[in-house]
Amino acid sequence: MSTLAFTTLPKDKPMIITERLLNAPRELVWKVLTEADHIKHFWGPDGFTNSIRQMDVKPGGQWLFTMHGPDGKDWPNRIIYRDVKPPSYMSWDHDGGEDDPSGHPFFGELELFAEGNKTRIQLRMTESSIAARDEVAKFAVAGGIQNLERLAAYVAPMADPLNRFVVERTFPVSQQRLFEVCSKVEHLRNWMSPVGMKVVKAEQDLKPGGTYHYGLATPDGREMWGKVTYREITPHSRLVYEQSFSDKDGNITAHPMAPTWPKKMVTLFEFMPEGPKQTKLKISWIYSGVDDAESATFHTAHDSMSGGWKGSLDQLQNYLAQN
Amino acid sequence: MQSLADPLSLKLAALADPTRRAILQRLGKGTANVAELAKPFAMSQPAISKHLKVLESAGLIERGRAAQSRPCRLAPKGLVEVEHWLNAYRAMWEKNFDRLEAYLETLTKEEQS
Repeated sequence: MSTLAFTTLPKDKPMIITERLLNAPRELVWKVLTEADHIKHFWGPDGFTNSIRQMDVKPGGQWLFTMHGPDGKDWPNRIIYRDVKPPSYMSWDHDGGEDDPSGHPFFGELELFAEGNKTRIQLRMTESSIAARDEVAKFAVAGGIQNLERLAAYVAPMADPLNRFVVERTFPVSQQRLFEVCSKVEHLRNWMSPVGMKVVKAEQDLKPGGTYHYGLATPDGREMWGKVTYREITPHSRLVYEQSFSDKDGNITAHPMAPTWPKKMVTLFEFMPEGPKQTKLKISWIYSGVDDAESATFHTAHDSMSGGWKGSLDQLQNYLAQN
Repeated sequence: MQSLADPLSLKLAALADPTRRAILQRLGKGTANVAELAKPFAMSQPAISKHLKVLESAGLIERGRAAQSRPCRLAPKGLVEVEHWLNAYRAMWEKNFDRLEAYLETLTKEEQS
């Protein structure tokens, strides 16, 4: 699945450059990248969490943290900052620290370019040689892209709360049960479609990077197709995927009724136990793209739903009904 | 940027701006011309005219042709389509939650029997 983040591997320099345009101003992006309470929520590839022991962003300062992989493996990291120029540039030496002397060392740089209210971020890793870079690229490219996509989804709702829309409800079942019913296709097809729609296809590959492709038919025979790409599956607490409309071959398409509706939205399911048989389900849709028409459409819909219009539409409808 | 040629997208894009929503709200109280509409905003008449143009091409307002002042009024059916779409969207997850609740109940009953 294509993402807004992309990688460049220069032929003449042993670098891996990962880049993305973010829907947030530069000062905000700098802030979330330099404060432990923010960066711990999105740093690393999909499914990774972080324990941060120390983060002191200044020349000679250290960032000591352990990344916890989705497979349970721990990755100790040490960063020693060299140059720090808020809000646009920093560089550092990266290795595994004292906990992991074998951890792979590299030189890292981060640069932020302001583009209006948006920010272009560039992460650059410099390895010891082109050959070493090519070896590292085998795993680091995908991880770097995922890292920037996570940052994008984290920072967009901070820049504008309308970039996230939330619904929640508590259900009288265990966390595990709710997680299964919201993630496995044999359950999903029993509830996750509008009433009266027939499921014509529901094909799921439930793993990070896997997809769920489904087709629904209305009673009058029209078909609606959608596709989901899983980003994070953390039993039984979190499920993250990208959601789109599609055609029946699984190609991403625009919303059949509203072409400026976001082509992709990040959907986050959080399962929060409130008792042995009581679990709150919170679903967030996040627009982390950079298209102004898409973001305006997303905002319009959600602003009106969350009461941001203060009933102005209702008022207008009343007026129109009377005239 | 995608094409805004279809009516619903045009309307949603027009409604995305708070000034234009305020203009619609003002027109909800009755017909007004550009000068009257510009008054409550710290905006020039040409700036308001631009917003009116967007609202007009989205089919949300109508403007008189005859008079110089071209009085504006709400288009009678302009918002119906938007309302339908938003209502459907709003209702979708509420209904899905209802279905999920019913499905969970079925599962629990099956296990108990």
